[in-house]
Formats: sequence, structure tokens, C-alpha cells
Amino acid sequence: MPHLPSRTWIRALVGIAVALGTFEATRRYRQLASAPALSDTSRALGIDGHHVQAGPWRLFTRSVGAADAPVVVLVHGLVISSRYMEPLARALADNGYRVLAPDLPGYGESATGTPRRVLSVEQLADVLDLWLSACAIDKATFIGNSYGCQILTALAVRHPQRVERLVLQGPTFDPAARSLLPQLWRAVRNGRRERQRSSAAIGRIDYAKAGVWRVLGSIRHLLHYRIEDHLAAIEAPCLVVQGSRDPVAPPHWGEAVAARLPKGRLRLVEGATHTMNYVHPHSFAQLIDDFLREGRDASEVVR
Amino acid sequence: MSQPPQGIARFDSAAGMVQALALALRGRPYTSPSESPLLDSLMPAINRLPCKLREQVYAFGGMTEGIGPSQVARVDVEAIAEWMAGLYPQRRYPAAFIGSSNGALMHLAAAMGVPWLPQTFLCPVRALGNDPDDARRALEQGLPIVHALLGADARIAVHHMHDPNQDRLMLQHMAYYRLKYRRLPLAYREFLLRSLAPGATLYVSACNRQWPVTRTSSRSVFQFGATGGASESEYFEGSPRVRQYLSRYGIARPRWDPPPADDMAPEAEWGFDPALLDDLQELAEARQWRLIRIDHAEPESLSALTADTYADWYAEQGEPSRRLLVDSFLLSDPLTTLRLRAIPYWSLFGVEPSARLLEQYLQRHPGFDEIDMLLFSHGTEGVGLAPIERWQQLLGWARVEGRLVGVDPSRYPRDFATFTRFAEDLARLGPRWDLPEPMSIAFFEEALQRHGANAEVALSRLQDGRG
Repeated sequence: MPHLPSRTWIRALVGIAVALGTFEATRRYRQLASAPALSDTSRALGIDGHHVQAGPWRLFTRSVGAADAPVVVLVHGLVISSRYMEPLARALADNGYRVLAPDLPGYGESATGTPRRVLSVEQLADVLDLWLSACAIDKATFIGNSYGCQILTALAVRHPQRVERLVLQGPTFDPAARSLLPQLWRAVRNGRRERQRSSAAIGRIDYAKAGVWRVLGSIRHLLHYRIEDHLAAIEAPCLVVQGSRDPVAPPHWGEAVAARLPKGRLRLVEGATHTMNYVHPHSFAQLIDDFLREGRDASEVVR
Repeated sequence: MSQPPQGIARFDSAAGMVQALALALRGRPYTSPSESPLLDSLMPAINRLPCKLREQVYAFGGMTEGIGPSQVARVDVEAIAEWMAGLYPQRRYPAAFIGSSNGALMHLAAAMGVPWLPQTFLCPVRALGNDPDDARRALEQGLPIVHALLGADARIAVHHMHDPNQDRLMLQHMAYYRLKYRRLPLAYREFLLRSLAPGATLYVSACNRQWPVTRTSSRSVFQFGATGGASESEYFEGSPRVRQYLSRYGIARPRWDPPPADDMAPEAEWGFDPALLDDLQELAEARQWRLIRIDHAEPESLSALTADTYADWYAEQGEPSRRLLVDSFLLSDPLTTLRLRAIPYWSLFGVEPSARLLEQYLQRHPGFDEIDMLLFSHGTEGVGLAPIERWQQLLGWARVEGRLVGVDPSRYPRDFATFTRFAEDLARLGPRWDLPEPMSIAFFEEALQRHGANAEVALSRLQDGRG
């Protein structure tokens, strides 16, 4: 056996370790990126999935609930897809709703055609408008979580005729943390609070499907769109659902959002964190149902 | 079982019972209150230590369950509720219990195959150099902790509990704060919403035991003493037994001098705080659940009733039982009880009032062939503790054989290895049967109506369900 200097051995071992680590990370990344659209859990929940051709976009859409029931649309947050909306979709279906939840272009199962193309908040809102036409839906009630609230704000401003009612849960982003690091730190704190019912495993799948470039581009769009500049233009009745333990969109920010909405109302949920659609879907569905029933009752009175 | 968040003691009634029941619903026996294989493996060695050293190891071991004073403001009662609810298997249940801790109730829930959510849990906080017998100082030193806990979450009440009679060892290094949910934590709400269908039943376990307290705020009280071997007046006014006890432990005072009580409050560990009812009623109404309150005067009011209900249930299935399994505090295994087709009888503590209640039960039901008995050791020969001979005498009621299970009589009440040995010895008992079909809700309620009147237990319907 040739005698090699100890430094050479160390370099060789480090090289092997890095190569093995890279190989394992790549293998894991590919495994996550190729996860099927619907899992066994999805099917057990009665969730269906189909593609909808909306203009140039082919959007994967989850659906559950009776076909003739009132429609609600769930809009997902940053980089993640409608996969993490499944528990809320199921809970809303149990409350008598037809639930549709599209993966917006670039996220989950909906490709953009080019991996580097990342749509802005306004562009995503316009895609939602196309998707509604493709689904033959004139007007609907929308529920957004986190970044989904920014997209829904843009939809309500650019296409007001599409929006019956809005539910914004954990709207991003609080201007008190207007840069990347504070936002990341808040997300970490939220992850700790949600660790017992964490959506992190689902998040890893969607982040792997989106890819690093899209993650960075999406964050850039999130930080660029200032929701507070647009809220006053929303005409539809809007419920802001605020978790008392949400560090990403903290209670003072939820209050500010509700105050800026012409027809806004705040509902503080004691104990809730940022990803209420995944962690507390039944409680969330119950208060969505209360809000939507109120709307239906009011319209009956008018008639 | 998963690791609990900081701020809840596992080695306590609520945490022990919720784990035992959750394991039973998962088809597994409850074998380790500590859930620590390392601690469990050390128990036999600890048990061989000299008496004083053993007490100190027990006290320091308990201290590891406590949090530091600086962590109190960050106690996350929502995460604790999530941990407790998350112990149960995720499925639809025909019913659920919520409210007061009760060992007998765990057997009823296990028979029905349904969960129970505790209203109260213990949050121990490290307090090195405590004097267990100086209650006034304990109250004063505890006030900043109480206020930090109150600030941590507006939905809880804080019962600072100080019992130098039964918790002497632990109080040397810790202070006990029992936290009661006055509002339904979101994790409980979520659990109930996903687990109960419309028309299901939510039972409220409401122990009406009160205790004289010193009120420290609208949501906090200081409780000196606790349900067990000594009476309330003995804690507050002293007695020859208290004098002897203090003298036995070398304490230079004839009686305790606690701060005067100015109010009555639900007993810290077992009592039900009715403030929780508002949320339960609103939720039951919205989801069309039946809401039924089970009032019981004392924790042990349910003990004989549960034993009678089990006897009726086994007999109805054509398998009458002549075997009694006596639990002690948190030493209990609902699953093994069912597999042995044993009738469960839950004793609060190893104290004389509990022994007397068991004796009364045995006088009414003298026909057991076998009696197996668990016996919790808390390390203190406190006022009212029944000696081992008293328990052995009660085993004499068995017509064929009476046994202590997992108990070393020569070391009781410092027999700390019993916390692991009880499960090892229970595992050796036989014969074993398959699990019976779950007890129906109708059977359960009829049995409670039938046996409740004699036991100061009453059912009241707070909300009708669907149909």
C-alpha cells in the first residue's frame, strides 16, 4: 500500500464524504420531486385531482365535495401547493361545500413550461381569473393562507367581479419584518410551534418540485407586493382570520389588515399558528362556515 | 409515546392517566409512568439505596420534570393540549370525556374505547432550597411565578398547590402549579371536531371537590394541603397527628401556619372549574353533540360505581368476574385490566380514607376469588398514610388469593421501583382474554343512573344531540 501524507488522506476522506452527501441529497431531492400528486392519505380523504387548461396554463386542481354544493376556492401559500390544503378541503366538504384548490403555475403539479419563469403576484391573480373561466365559475368565495392572501388581494382588486367573499388567514407580509432574514426567523419560530402537527413533510415535496430558482423568485415577489397598499380597494366582504400564536403574521398585523379593508372583519383564534388550514382545519372550517352562512342569510333577506 | 413539551410533569395524575388511556386505545399496556428507559433501568438500583439517600434521589429525579423560573413565561399551554390530544389514535369516536382527572373514569373510557381530555395538568417549577413547611413563604415566593403563568395564557387558571404532608420530598426542590383550562384550547377543539360525528356524546367529568384557598388574583389561588390522608382542619389548625408527623421529620413546629384562606375553589388536582362549560356548550350546540355532565362529589365517588358497572358489563356478556384489580393513584393499566377480565377499583392514594372506602366496597362485595393490588409510593410517611399491613389486611378479603403487585412491602412507602415493577408483575398475571366489544353508551349511562345515586354521582344533560 503506497504511503500517502496524512493531509492527502484527510482530503480524500472529505472528498468521499462530500460526494456521498451530494449523492444522497440528490437522490432524496429527486424522490421528493417525483412524489405523486395524490397520496394514499389524499384518496382516503376523498380528494380527487384533475388538470384544468386555463389559457396557456395547465393547472392541477384538487377537488372534494358534492358537485351541486356551494363552491369555495382555496389558494395556497409560498412555494407550497394545494397539497397542504387537503385537510381544510376535507373539513369544508364535511360542512357542505364543493372545494376546489388549484396548484398555481410553477408550484406542485402545475408546470410553467420553463423552470426559471416565476410569476408575480399580479400574474398569479390573472391566472386565477383564467382558471375560473375554464371551470365555468363566474364568482366564488376564496380562502387564502399566507402568500395566498397576497394573490387573493390582487385578484379582488384586478377582477372584483370574481370575488363573492374572501377569507384571509395569516396574510403576508407584516411590514415590521420587511426583509428576508426576519421573515425566515419568523417561519422557523412558527415551525417550532407547529411541530406536533407539522406540514413540513409536504412542504419538502413542494419545494423540491418547485426547485431552488423558483423558491428564490417567489420570495422576491412576496417581499415586493405590499398588500397594505391594495386592501382599501377590495369591495367584497372579507374575514381576516388571525392566530394568536402566529409569528409570521402576528396579531397586530392582522388587526391592521382588517382595519384597512372597507368590509373587513377580524377573527382572532386563540392558540392558532400560521398554517391553520393544515394544523387546525376543522376549527378553521367551522368559522369559515359561520362567515359564509352569514352571507347566504343576508342575501336571502335582501331577496 | 412522544416527548411532552416543557411545562407538564409526566409523573402526575393527569399526564399518567391520559397516557394510560391512550395506550389502552392503541391496544398497548401502560408500563412506564416516566417513559424513560434510562430512569426505569436505574430504579432497582435506586431502590437498594439507604432510606435517606433514596428519598433524595427521588426528590432530585422529580426535579428534572420541573422547568426553571425563567422558562415560566414561555409555557405553551396550547402545545401541551396538543401533546395530550395527540396521544390518542386518530379515528372517529362515539363519545369523549373531558374534565376532571379520575382513575376510575379511565377504566370506563377504556371499556367504551373513547378518549378523555384533562382540564388540569401539573406544571412543576424548580425552587431549590424550599422549606416545605413554610407555607407563607411559599405563597410569597410563588407570586412572581403565578403572575408569569397567568401572563403566558389568558385561558388558564393557576392553582399554586403546597402540600407538605404528601409532597414533602418534591417540595424541597420544586413548587407545584396546577393549571386548569378555563377555555377550550384550540388543540382540544380540533381534536373533538375531527373525532366526534354529529350526534356523538361529550361527557364532562366534573369533580365538585372544593378546598379552602387564598385568592391571589381573579384567575389564581394558593391552596395549602390537598385531598388525601389529612383533613382540611388538620392542615389549617393542626392536630396530634400533625404534631407527631412534624416531630417525626424533625420539624421544630407543632403545626403549620398557612396564610388564611379567604375563598373556596375547585380542588387543585381533581376539582372541576366550570368556566370551561361555556365553550363546551357552544361547541356541542354548533356540532349537535349531546353534552352530559357527570357530577361527582369526591374523586373516589366513581370508584365503586365503576367497579359495579364493570361487574354488570362482564355479567351481561356471560363472563362474570371474580377478580378485583385495585389501582393506586396513577398506577393503573386499563388494557391489562380488560384482558384479565378483572374488575377495576381505583384508590386515590395509599391513605387511610382510601383504604376505608375500599374496605366498604369489599364488605358489600365479599365474593372475589382473587384480589391484585397496586400501591403507589410517594416517599413520605405523611398524616393519614395507611401502613402496608392495612393494605395486606384488605387483601385478606380474597377467597383464594390476594396479592400485592409490584410492591416491596419492606420498602413501602419508599418503594420507588414499583413504578416499573408494577407493569412487569402485571404482565405475569393470567389468564388473558381477548378484548371485549366496547361498552355501549346506553349501557354506560344506564349503569351510572343505576349505581350513581348511592355514590353521589349525577348525570345531567346540558345539550341534546341530533335527533
